Amino acid sequence: MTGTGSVELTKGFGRAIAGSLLFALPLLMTMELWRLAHSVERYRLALLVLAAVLLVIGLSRTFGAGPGGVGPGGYLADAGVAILAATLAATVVLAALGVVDPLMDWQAAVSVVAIEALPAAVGASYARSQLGQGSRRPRISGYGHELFLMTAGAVVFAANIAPTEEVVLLAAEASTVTVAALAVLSLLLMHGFVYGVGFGGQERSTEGFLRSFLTLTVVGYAAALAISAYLLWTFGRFDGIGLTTAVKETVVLGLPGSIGAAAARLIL
Amino acid sequence: MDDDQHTEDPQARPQQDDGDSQERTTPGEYALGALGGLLVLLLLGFLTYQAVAVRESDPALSVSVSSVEAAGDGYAVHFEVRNSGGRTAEQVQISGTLTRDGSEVEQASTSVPYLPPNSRHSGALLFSEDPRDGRLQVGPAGYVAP
Repeated sequence: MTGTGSVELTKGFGRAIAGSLLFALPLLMTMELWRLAHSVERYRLALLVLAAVLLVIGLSRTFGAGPGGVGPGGYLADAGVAILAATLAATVVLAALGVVDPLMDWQAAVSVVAIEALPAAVGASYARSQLGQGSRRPRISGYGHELFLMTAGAVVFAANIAPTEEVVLLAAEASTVTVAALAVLSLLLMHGFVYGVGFGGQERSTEGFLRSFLTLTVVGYAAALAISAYLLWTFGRFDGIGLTTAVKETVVLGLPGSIGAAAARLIL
Repeated sequence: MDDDQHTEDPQARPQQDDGDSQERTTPGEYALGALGGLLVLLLLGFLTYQAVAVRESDPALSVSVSSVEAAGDGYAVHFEVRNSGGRTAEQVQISGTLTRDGSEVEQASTSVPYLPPNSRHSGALLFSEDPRDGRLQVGPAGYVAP
């Protein structure tokens, strides 16, 4: 019993490492994020870490605490393991790439690992609970869970794009009409992903088009926009710009965000 | 939204159906989980410390020459630039001037993309004249605030 327990523990931890790399590697290798780690205000970085922790706890709770048990102790422990694995994976990869030097310059290293914690921890949590052998497929029913999953998906996809300069550039060059068209396109893609094109997790629009469009797609898009705005604010993209540009940036980032939200409903 | 978790049976049932010993959180998991929690607290504590204690002053840059040696057709002056201030400096310019008998012989400069507080970065300035002959001045020339 102790033997299988520790084997399962090691396997779960290894899966968490793999998952965090799978989700975070694009961001571990994004130059903008290394700089932002040092320059963003500390309270925004602290808030981002807190948001990551809450998201991972929420995921653990929704998925029944990975290979662990049930109940608050189970999912809190699961979230803790995921965060531990995520920071370990991020530190090792960043050090191997020469981005940080944890021994010579630990303060800079901590900042960079902190800003990378969000995607890595979400990936770790997802891999622990969902990608293992005999992982439970949770039957997510209930509007609250759908909304939470869409938000989590939006976070993962938007976080990959949010720190890049491209968002600022695209928003600066886009006209109001383009931005409005982009918003419509995001909504159509979102709805089509979930109801139209026959993915494995496709859902039947039982409640009629208008109702599912309004209650899930539109609300999910709103969540994706909120997440996009939060991430852009965290990375200082709203500093010193007007409201119009801020909205444009949010809609631009809302495209990957909305795809992520829709994908989360299919995959999870 | 978390509240409907408790009332939903389908969520909890598959876990009981499996009936494996894996379904119980092991002491090892609790230990690792607690370690993760401790890590988060340390991280937040560190960020708070940086916010209140360190991050107020402007960048303070200093450059020290570590060695001068022949490299290729010329000479390389290896330096290390440090930021002992409280804020990141971006596009840090390092310049070196070689003077002989009061007149400037050669100038070389380079830049470091970014330098966080309490970190160092090393590089080299390249001269065609021998910098050991004459007076060599190496120092930071400027930076951009992030």
